[in-house]
Amino acid sequence: MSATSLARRPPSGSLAEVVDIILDKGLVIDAFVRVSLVGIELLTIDARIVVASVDTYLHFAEAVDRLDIRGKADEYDASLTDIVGGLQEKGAEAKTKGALQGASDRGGDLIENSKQRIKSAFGGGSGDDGGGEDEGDDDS
Amino acid sequence: MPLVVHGLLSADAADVLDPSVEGVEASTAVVVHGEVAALVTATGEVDLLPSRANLLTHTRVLEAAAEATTVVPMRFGTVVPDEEALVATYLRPEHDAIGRRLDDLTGRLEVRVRATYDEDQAVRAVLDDDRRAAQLRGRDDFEARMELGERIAAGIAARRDDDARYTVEAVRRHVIDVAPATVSEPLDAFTVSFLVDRDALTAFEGSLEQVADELAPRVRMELIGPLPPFSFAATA
Repeated sequence: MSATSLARRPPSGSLAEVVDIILDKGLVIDAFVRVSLVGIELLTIDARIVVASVDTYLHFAEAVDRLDIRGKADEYDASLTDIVGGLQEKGAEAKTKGALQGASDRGGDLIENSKQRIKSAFGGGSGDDGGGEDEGDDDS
Repeated sequence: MPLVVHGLLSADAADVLDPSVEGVEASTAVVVHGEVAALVTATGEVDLLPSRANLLTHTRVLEAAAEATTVVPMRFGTVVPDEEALVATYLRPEHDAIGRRLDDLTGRLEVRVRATYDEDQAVRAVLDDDRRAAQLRGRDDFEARMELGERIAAGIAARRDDDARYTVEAVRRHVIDVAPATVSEPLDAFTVSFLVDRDALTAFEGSLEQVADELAPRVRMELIGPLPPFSFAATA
């Protein structure tokens, strides 16, 4: 129970915390004017409304981007494991046959194949071909 | 000399209160009238500025007192012209009302719980539930990104009330009163203050730990306090 998800913080640790805790709180003596709070009240009224702004929306759109990039990185790692696994298998097969030339040919295919997979994992087609397409568009 | 009034306590408690507070320059004093007393510090200014020093003094004086006895916090910035005025215009006419308020809060403290969302988990949860948001994912035109962001923000907001209610229900049997506070950041889940009997603090924290474990890692929970009952001084 000691390794809990509940964090504990001392009350007067930070000024922001203190302001948050004591603002608008406590008994008021009607007979005396509270003179000092005007500044703080103005400052915090803004801060207390949940910021629902263009900045917030773009921030969350970026958060989705980060999820996507991480997802693709995972995909990439997974496909890389397949490729390495495949290479080792093929290598072993080639050795038993003693056909080293054949193995290197296959290796070449696998490397080409892995390039394609990496490109597709990152979504943007392939870099080289993309350049070609752009040129084609410009010409037409 | 003008006095800052920090809080109220019983005259009995005032007798045994240690007036010096660690980290506070001004020494505290008590003004006693009948069965009630006010905890004060002297100040040169009638216009008490909301400076760092003044805010921390107010908080620390009350925290120190709350460790020893029951205090009713006054609003920050309460300044009276002098001791006589404090008695004549407040402690004497309000004597019985102050006594009742002290009775209501006897042995009770405030515990504040602040919960925030883990961004990845929160965003993922909205994408899972909101088909439109899922469709907008991956589009890079401005309109689509704005709509996506707006839907994520709205989806997170829609979960706040449920999570707050769930947490409050989970600890309710250990608390006297509940005071929700407003949230201010997009990833804030909720902030709630609880009024808890000193004797029930351990049980309360146990229940809160359970619900915090349950809602983690989606929700991160922090416990602040125990504090003087700031949020319940005017309502209890």
